[in-house]
Amino acid sequence: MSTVTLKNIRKTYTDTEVIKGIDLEIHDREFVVFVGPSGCGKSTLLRMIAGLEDITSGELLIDGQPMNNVPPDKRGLAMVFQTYALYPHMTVAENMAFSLRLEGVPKAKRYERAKEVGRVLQLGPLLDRKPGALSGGQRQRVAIGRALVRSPKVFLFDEPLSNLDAALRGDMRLELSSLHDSLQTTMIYVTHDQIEAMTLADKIVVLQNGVIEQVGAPMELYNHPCNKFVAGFMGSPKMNFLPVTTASVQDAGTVVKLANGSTVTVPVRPGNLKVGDRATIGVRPEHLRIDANHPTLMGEVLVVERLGDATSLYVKIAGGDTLIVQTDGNKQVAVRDQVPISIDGNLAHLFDTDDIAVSKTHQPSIGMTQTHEQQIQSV
Amino acid sequence: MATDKKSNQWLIGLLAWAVACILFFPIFWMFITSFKTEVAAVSTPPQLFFTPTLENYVAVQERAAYFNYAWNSIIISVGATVVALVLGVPAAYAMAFFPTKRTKSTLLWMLSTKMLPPVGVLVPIYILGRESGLLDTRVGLIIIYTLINLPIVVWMIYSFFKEVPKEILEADRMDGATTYQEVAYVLLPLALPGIASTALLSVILSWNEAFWSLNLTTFDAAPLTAFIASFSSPQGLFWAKLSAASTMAIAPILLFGWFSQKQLVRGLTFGAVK
Repeated sequence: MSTVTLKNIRKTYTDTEVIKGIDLEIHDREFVVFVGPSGCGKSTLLRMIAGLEDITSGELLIDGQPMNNVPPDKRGLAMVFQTYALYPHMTVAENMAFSLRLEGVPKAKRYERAKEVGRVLQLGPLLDRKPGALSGGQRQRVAIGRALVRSPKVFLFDEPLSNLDAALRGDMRLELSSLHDSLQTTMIYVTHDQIEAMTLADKIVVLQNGVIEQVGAPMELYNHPCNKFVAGFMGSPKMNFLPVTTASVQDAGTVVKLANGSTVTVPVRPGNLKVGDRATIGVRPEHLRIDANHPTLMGEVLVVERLGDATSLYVKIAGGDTLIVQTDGNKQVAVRDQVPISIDGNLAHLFDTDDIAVSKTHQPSIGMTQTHEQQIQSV
Repeated sequence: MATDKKSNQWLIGLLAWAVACILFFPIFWMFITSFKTEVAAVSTPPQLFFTPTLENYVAVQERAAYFNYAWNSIIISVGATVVALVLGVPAAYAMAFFPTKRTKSTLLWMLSTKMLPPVGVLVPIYILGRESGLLDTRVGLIIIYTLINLPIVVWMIYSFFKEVPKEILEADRMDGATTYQEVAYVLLPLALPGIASTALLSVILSWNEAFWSLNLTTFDAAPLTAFIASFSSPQGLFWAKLSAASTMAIAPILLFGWFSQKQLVRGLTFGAVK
């Protein structure tokens, strides 16, 4: 068992509050990802859990034990740093077994343990090398190995993949995922990359300006973002937002009118929205379609980005807004083409004047929240 | 382009050699003068070719106990360096890793003490030395040299410590290192080239220091600088003997510097080319 509980955690530097009251429950064996734009406080929060930053107020519990004043090494945690932070003057084996050396474990036993962990991470032949002679990916593995050696209750990762090139990042993501599978340890992972968050997490915590915007499983955040910020942050390419006014409220949902006069029915209860109110409609690029039969909008193609499996179109519509439309890879389309765009209200999101999502009347069919939860439980 | 670059390098090489020769010339001249007779030493035009003689070295040996002075120099410069490091390393550690609002100004203040003309505090220091019985003692000079070199030692080690990535220290704290273990196992090994060159510089500066050693010592604690000076007075200047004495005085530190120059250069340019 290793749970982490944050109760109204706050952090203040001189007179700026950077963490503004975080409440969070991290369950045993959960892979939790803190994600948010730079400066949102995600790294600070992780470092507070690690014990590298003081907690100004609030309570941090690990396995139910208060940890606020416990030194970092006594918290039962291990951390992997963005810059790896390997000891350059020690060999790979010495790096990994340094914590054991500090505990006074005899040399032979330390080396044995380093070898054991090295085998798991395929570092076997590199044990006697210095970090300077390793590639980025290998260094990252040593950093993970150093954390593994301590058999921690909770692993902390501070943007561990951001110094790697794209291909290696993908590989390491897979390795981390399978590592979590095999270790069955609680992991807390900080990243600004929402793809890493989506692919690795059991639970994503979206942070902005020191507060939690939303907590949920990846597909839950994708399908049911609670506000415009989360909607825009999760998903790539970014969700499109268009200003609308509430036209009418019907059983089927709320009818909104776009700037060009066309209407879309979004299957949501109107909530605080009244007829005539300004609101924002959000549609993901993959949910917009080029459809001459049911065009909601017309626009001119500015840029065509061919990704192979898909094509991203940047389309300028009347009023000056640019929409990103994702279509299939072989779509015949060229710059300056006029394209009809169709918005499917069932896949759209509606945000009220305060940018809060208006709740849906039913779960969309693509929801995977359930399956993800089941996956966690079956483990 | 390529030839431009090549001729540029050639020019820079030539310039470097020229500067090196200018800097080295006095030492070279002193060295050859020490093997001349007194008459040859002062002859005009200066003689470049002459029959070398060791008479100056013999004379110098007879007149003064070279090894007494040399031993004092070693004890004082090494002693002052060790004390300066023992005080300077923890100070630099605190300032580099736990800076406060006043750290910057403390560092600047330390440096500003180097701008004070030493002669300005000669009388008070002399009186303090006399009252405490530290005049003409090695301990007295070690204290003075430690204080003279401390600002440089702290500054240098501070900048070497600053080069150590913060995450490495956080990593060792996560690994469970105490402050002592952190310094002993992680920080000092990483900053060793820097500390070595700091020590070297401190030894050289202490070895060459003349103002305080001449004013605060007579014989018991007198280092080699006093030994050289003793050849310049009563019966007039004896250039050849003075040169022989100087050569003997700087030989140890010159050899020391020669063998450790690689370390010294690495330390002084640490971080500059990373």
